[in-house]
Amino acid sequence: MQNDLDIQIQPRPFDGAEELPPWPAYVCRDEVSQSIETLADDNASNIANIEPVPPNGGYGWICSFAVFLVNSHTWGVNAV
Amino acid sequence: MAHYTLRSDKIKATNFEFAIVGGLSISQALAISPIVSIFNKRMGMRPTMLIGAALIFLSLLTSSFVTQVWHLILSQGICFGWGMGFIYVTASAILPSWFSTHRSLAVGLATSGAGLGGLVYSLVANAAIESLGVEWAYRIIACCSLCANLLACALLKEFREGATMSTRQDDRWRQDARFFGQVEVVLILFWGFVTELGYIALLYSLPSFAASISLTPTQGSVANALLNLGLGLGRPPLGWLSDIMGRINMAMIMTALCALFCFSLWIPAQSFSVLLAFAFLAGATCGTFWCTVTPVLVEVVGLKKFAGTFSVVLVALVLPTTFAEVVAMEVAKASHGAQTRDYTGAQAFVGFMFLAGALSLLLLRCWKVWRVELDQQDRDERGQAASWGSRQWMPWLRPRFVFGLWRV
Repeated sequence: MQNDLDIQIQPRPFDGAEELPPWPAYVCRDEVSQSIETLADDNASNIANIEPVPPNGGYGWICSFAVFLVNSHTWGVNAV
Repeated sequence: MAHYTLRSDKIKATNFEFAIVGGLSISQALAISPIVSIFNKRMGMRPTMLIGAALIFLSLLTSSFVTQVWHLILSQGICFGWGMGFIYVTASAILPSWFSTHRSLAVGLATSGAGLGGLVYSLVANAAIESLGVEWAYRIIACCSLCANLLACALLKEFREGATMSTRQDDRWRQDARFFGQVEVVLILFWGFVTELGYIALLYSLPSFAASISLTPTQGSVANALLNLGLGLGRPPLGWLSDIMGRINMAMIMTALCALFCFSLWIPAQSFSVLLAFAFLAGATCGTFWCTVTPVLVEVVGLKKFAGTFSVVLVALVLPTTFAEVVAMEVAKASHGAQTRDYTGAQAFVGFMFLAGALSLLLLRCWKVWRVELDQQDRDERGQAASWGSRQWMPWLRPRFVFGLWRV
């Protein structure tokens, strides 16, 4: 299982290494290493890495109010 | 705090020492943000915020008993700073994950609390000092802040706990060190660095400038209150507009506008009304960094790496917040020494700081446009994208990225 993965994934990035742009190269490397890791891990961690979709409202507004309170009682009090 | 500066019969201290206490609490709050993120990881967000609420209560309560300057440094400077770090850093790192298209509006509403809270508390504190004395004013503020902070702790929830806490938390520290070398993070740090210097220099020289154009101290404090009001009222519309026009665009425009106001309103200001107009407009624009740093950071590094990068940025800002006070005092002193009531030096300093911030945001915007285009091409054809922009130095810095109209 482990060997199989190495053979499949590793050659691709190193073939194209010359063509990679100089500076965002880290992005490509990250992607590759991440895909190796997620494939090598079990399915449970695979699910955990998917970014959840934000509700964009709802209880979020209550959270905004809470952060408003925190801001006014840290920065606000400090200004007094 | 300011009360002690005005009536120094109780505690003998120089203005310099008071300036140190004021700056110390913010720089302490930023300095302990890595420790706060460790607490967050180990204990979860709610216990961390409770620690912060307790520390702030303790700090304000002990401030009511101070008799020496070093008491004040310990209570108002260090204890308050740590409490602020625990509660503020935790709370503001949670908020962006709740929103996608309304993110800036939410953060704008939340950060307007800083200005409005400052305004309300300065009124409450003045009334309480008049009728009850400083000690009881401190105790009242301590109780109010404890109640409000506990309420905030109860209301605040992490968006889908567990899901956002990814399993590979330990990798974060290794990534953090690398963030410093990346051009987009360096640009954000530069922006924060210079606007923080300009912001604090502005706060410090505004009252003494009011005195220099022969206004009364009351008029000076009205100008200061208007600055706070601008700070509070300016942020929600700023957030709303940045959701529409693009977050980096809006941050850049606001920072540039603040520089413009310094040069066009502050330097020629000779009357009270012009100064009031400047104070309100500058208040609305000069705090842009604190209002927009979280959404801009999410735009740049993504939601996943946001929490780690945020604490790195805060740690890096310890340096300007500690020295901004000293720099501001030196700039003000230099203009005092001339004995000509000439504040042009300090005004130009503030203006150029904000101008430099706007320029670094222009570069950041350029980088983001390039990044978006690269991702677009990457999606279209995977093979071709790799060769795009290679063999050139800084492929993101091109005129069409600088001057094109993009919503970023």
